[in-house]
Amino acid sequence: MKKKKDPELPSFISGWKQMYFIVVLNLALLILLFYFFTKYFE
Amino acid sequence: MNWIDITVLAVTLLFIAVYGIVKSRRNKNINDYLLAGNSMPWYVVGISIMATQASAITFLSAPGQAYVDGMRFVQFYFGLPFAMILLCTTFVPIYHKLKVFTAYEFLETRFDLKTRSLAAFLFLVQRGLACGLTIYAPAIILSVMLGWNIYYTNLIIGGLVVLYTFIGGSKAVSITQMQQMTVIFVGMFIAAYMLIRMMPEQISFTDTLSVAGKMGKLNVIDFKFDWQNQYNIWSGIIGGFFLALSYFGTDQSQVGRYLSGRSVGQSRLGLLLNGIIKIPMQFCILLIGALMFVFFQFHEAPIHFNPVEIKKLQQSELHNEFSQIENEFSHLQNNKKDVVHQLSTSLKNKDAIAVSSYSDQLVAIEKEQVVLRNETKKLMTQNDARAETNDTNYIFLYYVLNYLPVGLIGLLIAVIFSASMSSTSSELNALASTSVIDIYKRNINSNGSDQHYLMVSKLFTAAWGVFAIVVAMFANQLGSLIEAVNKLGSLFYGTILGMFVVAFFMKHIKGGSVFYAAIIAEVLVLFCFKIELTAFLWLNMIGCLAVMLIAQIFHIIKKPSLQ
Repeated sequence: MKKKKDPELPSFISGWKQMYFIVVLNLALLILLFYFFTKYFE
Repeated sequence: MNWIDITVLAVTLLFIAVYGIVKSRRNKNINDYLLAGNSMPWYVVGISIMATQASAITFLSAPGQAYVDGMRFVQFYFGLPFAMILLCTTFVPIYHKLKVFTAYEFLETRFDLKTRSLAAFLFLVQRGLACGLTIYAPAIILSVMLGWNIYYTNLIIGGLVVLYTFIGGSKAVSITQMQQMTVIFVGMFIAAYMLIRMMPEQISFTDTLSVAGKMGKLNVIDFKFDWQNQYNIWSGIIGGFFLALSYFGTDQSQVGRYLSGRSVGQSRLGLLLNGIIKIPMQFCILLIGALMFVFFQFHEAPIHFNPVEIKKLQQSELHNEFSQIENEFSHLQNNKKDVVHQLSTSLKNKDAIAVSSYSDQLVAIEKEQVVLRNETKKLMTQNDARAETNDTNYIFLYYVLNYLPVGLIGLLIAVIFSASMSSTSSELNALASTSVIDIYKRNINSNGSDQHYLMVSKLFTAAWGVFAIVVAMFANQLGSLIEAVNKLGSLFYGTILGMFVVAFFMKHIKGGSVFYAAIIAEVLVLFCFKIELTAFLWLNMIGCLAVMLIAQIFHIIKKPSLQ
């Protein structure tokens, strides 16, 4: 049986796992951005 | 301070305080007082979590930290998103399911009363001391602004915040944090804008960043592993993860914030909002410090940013020696201005050889200035052994008071005060709730009425307020406050977290084992700190792993008296 989506999540998010993935992805992108920022102005 | 600034300051603070009190006057019982009736939507929970962590210390000390040490401090927050996710999947659903008032209640359900009381005690010691530092930060501002003794300003700030928390409770804290965060973001944005605007005309924003980079202030990422290095990506992700997990998962000042969410989902979303926004927010605050560093390459920077200490030195017998050092410093500052201009021109012309040469010259001048600053600090100590020689916490304040236009000064000071009010009131609230629920109700009087506990909560709020004010009186020797408060937390958080991790994930271990394991782990952490074994962030991991390991050993030994 398909698990019902939590109604408290934003409409564009399919589940909590996707929400957690977005948080980790955000961190990874920030680290990448900061790395280029450091290197560019070094 | 101009009368317009004083008016802006007074109106902003009055609005925040009155709004919070009016909105929260319907606190009927202890649940309303401590957990805001579990009625908060996710965005209020999220903002409340961020505002609780972003005290006056953040806005006062973080730009100064970047000014002195560059932006590498931001790596400290890299473990936070992972901690938020783990909290959402484990801690939050359990806390909500058990309908706990404080995190430590759960430890009694899982282990026993003494383990709960130990965790609550460690928290109270740590948070009570930290609360003193949170009061001390805005007291510095008031002291500089009014030229009053820091002891009096500690009393004024501490008294005001106790009154605010005493009357309003948790709901006032949560509600006004929305307004406070708005003021904070507006104020910090304006401060950054003014910094860029007041650079010399020919210096663009990119030039400013280039100069900051060449001076080593944009060192955001450091991949090199070193146990002794306070801030690199590894200590940030691993040590920062343990610190964030224990701060957000077990520190009642934070647990109280997200338990005020109206459901598990709202609490989770609030935490994840923090996981997404916190790092960019800290990056921006630290960037202000790096920009401020470049700003003071073009504008006259004092040899020491604490005007009270400078005044003491000027009025002392050592004033001749100090004048000599100050003149040398000023001469170097003028040389520096020329070199920075030449550096920015060569950056524009993409002349790599000239860039390298001028960068080296700048670094050399900076080193000479550091030597002169250190000589000044020696003179300060010679003049007064208790002198506050570390001026990291005064740098941003100096900029605000001396370079921002009238009106903005009042707004930014209000920002820092409001951040302090929200943060300190959250802390006092957490201290009161832990004292009542975990200590008073369980060990002293378990048969009181709801009204009785509400009254005792308010009394504890006042008592912890007095304790924090006393601690603030002794806080002037701790250097960078943002580092000091995190070091203090790292001494206790690892052990507390270890107790919770054992409770959640090592289900075979009983209360006796974890109680003694926690005591041994705490001694171990304090010993590691004393011998400076490693950078402070790692202490969180050491404490947590020590509790887990020692509890497991006790379990294997299976002494009947321990189980």
